[in-house]
Amino acid sequence: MPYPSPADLETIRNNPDLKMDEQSGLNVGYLAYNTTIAPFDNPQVRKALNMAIDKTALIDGVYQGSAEVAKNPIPPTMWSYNDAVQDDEYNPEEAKKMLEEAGVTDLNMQIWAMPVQRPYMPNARRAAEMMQSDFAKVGVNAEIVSYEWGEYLAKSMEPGREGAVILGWTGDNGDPDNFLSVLLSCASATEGGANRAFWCNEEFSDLLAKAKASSDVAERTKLYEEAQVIFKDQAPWATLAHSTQYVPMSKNVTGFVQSPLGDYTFATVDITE
Amino acid sequence: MKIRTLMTASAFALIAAAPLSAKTFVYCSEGSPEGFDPAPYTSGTTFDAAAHTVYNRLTEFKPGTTEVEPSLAESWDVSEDGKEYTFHLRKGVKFHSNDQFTPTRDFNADDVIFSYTRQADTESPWHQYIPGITYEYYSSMSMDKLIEKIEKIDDYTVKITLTSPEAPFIANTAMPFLSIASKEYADQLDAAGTREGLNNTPIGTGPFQFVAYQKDAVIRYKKNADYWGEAPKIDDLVFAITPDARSACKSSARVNVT
Repeated sequence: MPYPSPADLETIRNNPDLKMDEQSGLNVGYLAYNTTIAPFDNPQVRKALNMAIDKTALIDGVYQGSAEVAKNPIPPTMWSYNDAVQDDEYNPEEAKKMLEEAGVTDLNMQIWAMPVQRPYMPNARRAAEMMQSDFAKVGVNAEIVSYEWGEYLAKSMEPGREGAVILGWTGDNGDPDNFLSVLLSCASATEGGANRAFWCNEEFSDLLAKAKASSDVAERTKLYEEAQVIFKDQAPWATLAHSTQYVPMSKNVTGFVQSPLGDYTFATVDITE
Repeated sequence: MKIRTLMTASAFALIAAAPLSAKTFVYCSEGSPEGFDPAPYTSGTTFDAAAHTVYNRLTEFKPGTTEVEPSLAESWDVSEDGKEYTFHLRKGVKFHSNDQFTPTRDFNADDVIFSYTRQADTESPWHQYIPGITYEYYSSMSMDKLIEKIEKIDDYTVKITLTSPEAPFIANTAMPFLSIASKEYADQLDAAGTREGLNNTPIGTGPFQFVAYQKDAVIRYKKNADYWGEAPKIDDLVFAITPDARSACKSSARVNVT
């Protein structure tokens, strides 16, 4: 069974013998625009669309509240997370104005909805429908498309792909490079890569290359923080959510520390009477 | 990596404690591990049952974070060009013992070399010691392309040379597939013709010592009394394997498998 269902969470929360530890998982769910195709090659258009998405509603409707709104491409439990970054404000009025200023009227686009559940995206169809209705409010007509999972992954990486793709990532080794280079570098914007925004920003990629070549964690942290600022400014994705990991346990358990990597370790646990 | 993602996605766990005289901690795990050698496997279930209990690694993730901290390596230096990692190993670290094995020496560089090279070296008798295994994580994290050579400088110093500077490499050394096994135990198993013991009755340096396993039912561990780090506060650790977490573990406060 995938994560505990909302109904189970409620039961566990109401059980006086149990308590629940919750933490944002090492994952991100996103909507990736094809930044090589007009009008999505214009950062202002991408930003406007991001401002049209009601992410708080999305967290409730798609994740049943078991997630937090994402503003960066890496989750808050990962080192170098830049909490100073301001998320795009939800403001359909302003979004509409920005689209008009960019000369975008009567835009038709596709939203790709994954056919499977993942921790970072439990219901892509529902997410696509919600964004479709958000986009309609700013005059953008979105059509939802989907493919079988293998095909979805392959086709969404074809150059010239239409529209915006819902996808996500769960980290392997807790290193920021494992998100940023894999998903957003110039090198991964080609066949065999995983950069589904086909976003190649040299300033951003240079920062990643510098960070990869340095073993000084403080220096790397600074470089990744800077990279997150560029990412937010250029908006290759709408960052949607980081889903929550739940660990229910007896009330008398102490010292359990949840791992952002999803590991269970018991070296520090104790039981109190 | 996909497999890891998939397996962790299905991990629903409950932790329960049964008050007994000796402190026994019961963990409702979601399934049986693939084995107890973390290197050839990819599931979170196996890593929890083997890597995080029985074993340590050169480095580990600081609890609750993604930061890397020293473990069996007390410290490490990185060369100016970012390609040479020199690990200074912890002294006085004891391996576990069981009915068949009693270590005659402490953890040292030979154990690191053994644990890393068996994954890379297709000629090693330990590469295919179980028919059909592959070291999938090792290759998916590009370790085969990244590591140029591993050298023992002395008993407590190991140098790993990379093909190119790659700072995220250090985080890989904290990952379950790079757990450190006992070379001395492996040699003994080899001599006895029972190599599969490495996967069935693991010997590590970790906070818990493997005691017994009954497939699809239970795994038992006891506290490693000689643990080099802070000793566990519980005496016995039990994984109650309960694939249907919904029914079996909901009232976890009453779970008692002892």
